[in-house]
Amino acid sequence: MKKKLWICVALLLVIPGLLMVTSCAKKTVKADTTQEDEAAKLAAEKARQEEIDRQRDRQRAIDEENLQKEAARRKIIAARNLFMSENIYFDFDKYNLKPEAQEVLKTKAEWLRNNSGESIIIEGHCDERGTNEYNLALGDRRAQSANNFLIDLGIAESRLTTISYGEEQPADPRHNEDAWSKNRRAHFVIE
Amino acid sequence: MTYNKSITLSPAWSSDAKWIAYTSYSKGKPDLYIKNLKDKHGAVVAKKGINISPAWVPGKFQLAATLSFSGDPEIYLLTGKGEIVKNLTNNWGIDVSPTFSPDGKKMAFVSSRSGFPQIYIMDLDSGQVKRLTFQGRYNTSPSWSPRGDKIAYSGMENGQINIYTIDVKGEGLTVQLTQNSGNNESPTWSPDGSLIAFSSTREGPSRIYVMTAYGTDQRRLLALPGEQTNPEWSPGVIDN
Repeated sequence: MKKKLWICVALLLVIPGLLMVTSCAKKTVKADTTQEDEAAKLAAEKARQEEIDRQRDRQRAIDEENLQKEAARRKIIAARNLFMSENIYFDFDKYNLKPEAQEVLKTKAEWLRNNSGESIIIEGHCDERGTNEYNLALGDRRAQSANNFLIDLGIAESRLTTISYGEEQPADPRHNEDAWSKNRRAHFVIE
Repeated sequence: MTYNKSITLSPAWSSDAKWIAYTSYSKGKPDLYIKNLKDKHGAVVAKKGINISPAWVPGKFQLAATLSFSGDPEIYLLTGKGEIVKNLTNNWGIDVSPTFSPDGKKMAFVSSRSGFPQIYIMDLDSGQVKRLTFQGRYNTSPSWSPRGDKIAYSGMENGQINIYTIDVKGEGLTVQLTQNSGNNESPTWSPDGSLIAFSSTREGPSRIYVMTAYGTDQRRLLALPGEQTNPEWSPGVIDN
């Protein structure tokens, strides 16, 4: 009788114990799985964010490059426009180059050096006073002065052509010194 | 007479009125065209630079013109076919606008060799050059009278341009023919030397006027749209 009782007690203690052990083990597994899930989620999130950042950086680099290309293109167009719009001016009945004219010609020489494939035409002009014939010759000398200065700065002679229009093509058609000073000019055209 | 819609200027008649020489930009630059008025044939002088201000040698099939292919505008003697006979002027500075004495022995022209444009006379045999004008700092556009005794020209003084005549011989007596009437340029003599045609801006745009050789009776010849400049009196030879 006492043996049976001890067996019962033992069983009563062992079985729940066994049960408790197994259930404890299950709980640990569950906790480990959740932690793994969490870690995986975080890693994925991080990876996605990193990819977004990388794409944004790539796009920024492309935009930056495009902006620089656009700026460079605008600079080229501006330099070309300046070359064609900036004239040099002369005193009445003179064809010598004043200091300001020489500075402008240096800028033109630089453009010609940077654009080695281009050729230009140098036009010589006069104001309306004086004979047409004399002014044709004066315009010719003015164009020659600019031509020779550019050659002295190292520009190949074959890239330069001169032409005189005398008083025949004024920039300003009025009949006063303000207009005349604008007409006594050399003008540069890219061929 | 020209219809090419490009700049055309300084016409010059040969003394037999059969040929005309002029400068035209019809090929894009100032070239010298020499044309026979009947059959329209002729020659072109199209050297580098300017080819301008033709003047026929009286009685010869030759003309003087300014060419600048050497880098400096000089006056050359050419055949009527446009070939160079010789270089008449050879100095640094602008040499332009030749005009011959009626006997063809002397040539007056404009030169800036003194620093400013003045009128000089060259003896074609000896090549000797003498300065003619000393009054004023800017004298251009000479035209030798068919009577041989005077040269008409444009002189600029005090900002005004007027027509003057100067005696070729003697003390070079200078007479001013226009005053206070705008800018007056490019005088040309009638064949008998009694009248001078010229351009004037006295009414605003440039127009052709005519006056006596003494400056009297100044009147306008015509008024067309645009500007009229550089008149050149034809030699008045009757064509058979």
